Amino acid sequence: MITTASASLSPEVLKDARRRERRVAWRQTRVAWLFIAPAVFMVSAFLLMPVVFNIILSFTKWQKFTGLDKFAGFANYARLFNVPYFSEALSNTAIWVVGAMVLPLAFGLGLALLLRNMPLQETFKSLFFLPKVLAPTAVGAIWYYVYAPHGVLNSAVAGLTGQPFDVGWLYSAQTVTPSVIFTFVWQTVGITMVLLLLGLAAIPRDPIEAARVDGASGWQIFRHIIWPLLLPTVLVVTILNVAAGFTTFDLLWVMAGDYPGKRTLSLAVYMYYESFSNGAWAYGSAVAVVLGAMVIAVTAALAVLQSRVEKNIR
Amino acid sequence: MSYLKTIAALGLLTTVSVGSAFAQDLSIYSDKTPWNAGMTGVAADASTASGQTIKLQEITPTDKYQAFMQTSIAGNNVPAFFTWWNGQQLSDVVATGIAADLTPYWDKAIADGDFTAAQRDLVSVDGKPYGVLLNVANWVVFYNTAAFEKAGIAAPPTTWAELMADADKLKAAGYTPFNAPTSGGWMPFIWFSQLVLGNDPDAFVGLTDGSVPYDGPAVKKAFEIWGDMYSKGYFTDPREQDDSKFFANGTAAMFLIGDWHSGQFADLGMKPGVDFKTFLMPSVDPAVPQSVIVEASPIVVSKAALDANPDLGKAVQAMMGADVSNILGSQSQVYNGNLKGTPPNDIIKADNDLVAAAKPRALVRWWEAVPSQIQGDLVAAMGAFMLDPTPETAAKSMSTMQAINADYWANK
Repeated sequence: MITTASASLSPEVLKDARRRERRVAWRQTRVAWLFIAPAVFMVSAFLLMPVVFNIILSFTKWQKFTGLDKFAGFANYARLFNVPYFSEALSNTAIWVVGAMVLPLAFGLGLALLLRNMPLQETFKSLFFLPKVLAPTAVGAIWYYVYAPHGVLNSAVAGLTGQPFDVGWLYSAQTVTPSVIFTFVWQTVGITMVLLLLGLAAIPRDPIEAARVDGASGWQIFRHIIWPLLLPTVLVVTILNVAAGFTTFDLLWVMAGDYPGKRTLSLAVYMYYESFSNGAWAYGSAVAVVLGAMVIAVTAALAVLQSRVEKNIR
Repeated sequence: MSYLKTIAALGLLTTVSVGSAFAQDLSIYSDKTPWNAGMTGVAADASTASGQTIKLQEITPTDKYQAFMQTSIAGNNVPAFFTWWNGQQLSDVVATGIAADLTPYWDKAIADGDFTAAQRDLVSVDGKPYGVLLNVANWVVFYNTAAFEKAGIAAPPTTWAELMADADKLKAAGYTPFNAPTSGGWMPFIWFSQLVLGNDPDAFVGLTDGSVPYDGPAVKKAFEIWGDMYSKGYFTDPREQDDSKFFANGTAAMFLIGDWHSGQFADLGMKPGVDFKTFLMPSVDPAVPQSVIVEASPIVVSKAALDANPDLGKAVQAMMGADVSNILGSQSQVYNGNLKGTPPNDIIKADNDLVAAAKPRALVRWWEAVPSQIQGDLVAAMGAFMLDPTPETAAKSMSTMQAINADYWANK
């Protein structure tokens, strides 16, 4: 006859054991809470609380130091559609997001594939990565002088063509956003390339060798083996760049500081001017909420896509 | 537990120390960097009078300074003194309750013969003065005497037709007639407002109180003239960020600006009254009486600082004295209107005489008169036109400005 250990113990002993277990578990929970408490406090105090406060603000009439105690309902959100600058800022942000998503990835992937089996790979990697170690404000200051009316770019074109060349790259609605995006790409392509190189290094050689033996072309290998296996890394890079595209501020602040239309160059810049320059704190908060919601929605969609891709690979 | 007590005590001590340090840090905040020497002198004189150390802190350009001050006021961390603007801008600050009522100081200054009651009105809201006058300026057209001579212009123009004819002569002589920068986040309003008020001063006033639209006939006419002047090559490259460069180096022959700019030109090596002189801008429409823009910049005093430190009252009174007026004049060629003070140069003296003789209608500058919540947004649309002075951009700028304007007044 087989008896279990618990069956042979009296109810009191079992009760006591369970109590002891609960005590240990509670002690462990306490220790766990002690360790995560600073992080919880920091995230709550400096991230969640301001976000909640910002959302509350967006429903008030706070403008120029008054109206904080007056409920505005959705008036600030309705105003977004009445003010032409919001739609301009929104469309520029869309250009930024697409540019920040596609261009660093395209150039970074090209460079990664080019450098993968190249001699002096480390040297080139360091060279392309170098702009990333510079502060965006420093990068902006450097490129400001590249794009200035009598700056490096115009002088170079004039020197090459022998004709006067005077394009106000940072003073025209048509050229200012592409110019700053180009600078963003210049700074971001290095880190994108490094991340993709890491992704490429993690791809097993066997399927590639097998495909090669089966007579697959380089493009077929890339299309059917490398790209699907690299996709999780591509999506991580895309999420990072999309978030940067949505919230870009520093480069625009430094490079386009002299452009009268600077306030609509991105939603982040527009939010700054509405809140801090015009004193429309509540309306600026509504812009921030919309911006935050867009960032969350797009990154969440990309994250879902990433998890599906990873599941498929497994 | 004793550790916790020690940490709490240290934290409290640090807070108190930092708080005390801030409390002792008395400053005059300003965005008027070209007046650094004069403002430094004002701070020194105020320090001596009050027995406190008052330092000058500068932030530029103007839009960043405004943003800084907005957050300072919202954060209840207002500097003891700060330069500001009169009109609507001052009303907004006064509405917050942070500005000190300076009635006793103004009463004494008027009784002492330093200022007049009319001057007090320049910095008053609802009949009470909330600022010390830092600058009182007439907006005039500066002209380069050598350029006028080379172009064969014997005397400054007195009508719009003469002005345009002179612009053509200057163009033919190799000069750009007018210096027109977009720098500092505010300068695009200069020609816009001048062309509106030159045709219809009442419409100019109406733009600032919401009764006249920014896409109405008065504004359309101003944009037409502005665009026509651009097409004739009358204006300098708006991308230049040094606002005085083209006038000081002789590229541009005329510069419409407040006469406080004379100090900047003097600093750049031009001799007031010799290398450059001024005239009053004629009306565009000869049937419209001449107007002149009067600009007054106040120094606002924090009520909290003055209440906490009554000695600062001595600093306020000193700022209204002739000594400070002369310091501003001699160091930065700025005139604050003190009747016992000496106008800093012949230009400012001559401008006062010109205004006294012509008796034009005095108008508050657009920047001060327009609601501060929308001034930056409106200026951005004017600047967009200056960078691309086409009829299409003019139409877009007018439509944008009116949308912003209508939205503001509808939600006020």
